Amino acid sequence: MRILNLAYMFFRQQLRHRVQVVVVVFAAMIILAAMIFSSLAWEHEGELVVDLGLSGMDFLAFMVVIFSLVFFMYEELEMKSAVLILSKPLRRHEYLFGHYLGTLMTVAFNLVFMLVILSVALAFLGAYLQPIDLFAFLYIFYKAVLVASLAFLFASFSSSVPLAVILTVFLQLLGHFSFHLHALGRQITNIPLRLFLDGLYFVLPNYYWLDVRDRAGLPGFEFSFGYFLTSSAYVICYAAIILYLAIMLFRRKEF
Amino acid sequence: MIKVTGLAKTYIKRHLWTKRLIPALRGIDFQVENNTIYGLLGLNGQGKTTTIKIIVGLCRADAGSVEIFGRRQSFYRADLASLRKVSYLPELPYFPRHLTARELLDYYGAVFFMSRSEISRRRDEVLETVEMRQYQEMKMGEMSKGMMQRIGIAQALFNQPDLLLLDEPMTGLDPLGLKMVRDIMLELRDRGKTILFSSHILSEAEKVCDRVGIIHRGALLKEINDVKKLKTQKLEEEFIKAVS
Ligand SMILES: Nc1ncnc2c1ncn2[C@@H]1O[C@H](COP(=O)(O)OP(=O)(O)O)[C@@H](O)[C@H]1O
Ligand SMILES: [Mg+2]
Repeated sequence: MRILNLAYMFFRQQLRHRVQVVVVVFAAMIILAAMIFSSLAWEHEGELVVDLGLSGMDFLAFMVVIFSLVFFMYEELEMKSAVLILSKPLRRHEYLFGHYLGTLMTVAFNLVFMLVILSVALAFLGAYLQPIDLFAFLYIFYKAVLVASLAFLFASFSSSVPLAVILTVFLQLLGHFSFHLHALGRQITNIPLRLFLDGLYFVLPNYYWLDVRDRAGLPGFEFSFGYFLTSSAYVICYAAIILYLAIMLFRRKEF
Repeated sequence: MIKVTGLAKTYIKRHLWTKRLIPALRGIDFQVENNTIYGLLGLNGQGKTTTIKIIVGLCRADAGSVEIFGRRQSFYRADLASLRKVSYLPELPYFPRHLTARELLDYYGAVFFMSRSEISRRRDEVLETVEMRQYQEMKMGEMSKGMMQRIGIAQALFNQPDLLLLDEPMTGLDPLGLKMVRDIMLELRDRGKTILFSSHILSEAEKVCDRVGIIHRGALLKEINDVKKLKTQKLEEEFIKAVS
């Protein structure tokens, strides 16, 4: 309950920030671009708009996480507004987890906002979202769940905002390649290098698994209920482990 | 009420591969008795803030111990039972800019295991006490320094604490604000509360303290027990004698 209150307050603060306007403008731009694009296409225009919209949301979700990270590190840690709440009967893990949830609330809010806009744009074209599109939407949120946990790990570990941002961006990029690194490792005979690649594959978030929409057309892949459950479990476990590490580091932080 | 024993702290400033040690406290002992106002006096950079932050659990001491209400405090596992009855006002408090005063107090109130109606009642009471009721819808980012200090005091009164730790509560206040803080402190003491505060404004300390400790270069140089019995300006003399 107290954690939810913390989360809600963090969410509310972020919504009031001027950056939120950028999200709205960004959403409008994506839709506009999609509309123009679709007027050039002869067929599958709905699909094209969905593609564009979802890619935009993917990027947007990541930007919201980065913004939350900067906001959290600057306002709470650097300007030390955290001391006022941490000196009250609240544990460090409640504090950190509350802000993590607040970040996810902000991401979810913005994603749902974009989804509504996208559906309206589609309705004009006489198209509508397929079930797999909705899953793709959920998986965009999953990616944010993973990268936000990493962002909070870096916020706990480093006191430098630029460093934490760079590390988060870096891991986000690597997350898209981790599966390919693994595939590369399979073809390498150099044992230490191969172990290194396998290690990376194990530690990095695996976005390939979450890329259900693009893979849905590929042979040998079927999006099933079982797949949904395993990938959801993966996301929860990964985020939980990273957050646990973040909390361990945050507990040592002095103000 | 508070028992501080052998408190020592050295800050480590890391910059790339270099490491600089900044000793802040070199073994401090003092006790704050129940129902008194204790002033921790010292020049800038002598360790007042560090002492208070360690007591409230924001900083880790390298050595020594802190007891509040007879309970040993630990940095890694905050004693929530004690903290419920403690409050803290940082020097230069900084609040979330995008919240209004009212939202801010509700936010802090929710941490204290209070019911919603209790929170809004307490919020109105403390805003009244610091004469900020008419500004409750103002965003924290738009407030002047003195107003923020008042909100800082309001949040420190919120949980009806038995022990208040106030770090330079008088800085940034105008004469009316100063008098208000002084009156609040004295009234709290009369109601049986205990206050530890830091200051370098001797004339103000003289007016409220029952007891003072003079801290210099991370050590407690001298304690004066009956500040009330000193003649006017005598505290300044004692202070200068101690630190020079
Ligand atoms: N976060 C910090 N990192 C490094 N040094 C610090 C830090 N905080 C305080 N210090 C140093 O510790 C000493 C005591 O500081 P402080 O407790 O803030 O003094 P005061 O509150 O009496 O002005 C000073 O020399 C100060 O420079
Ligand atoms: Mg200080």
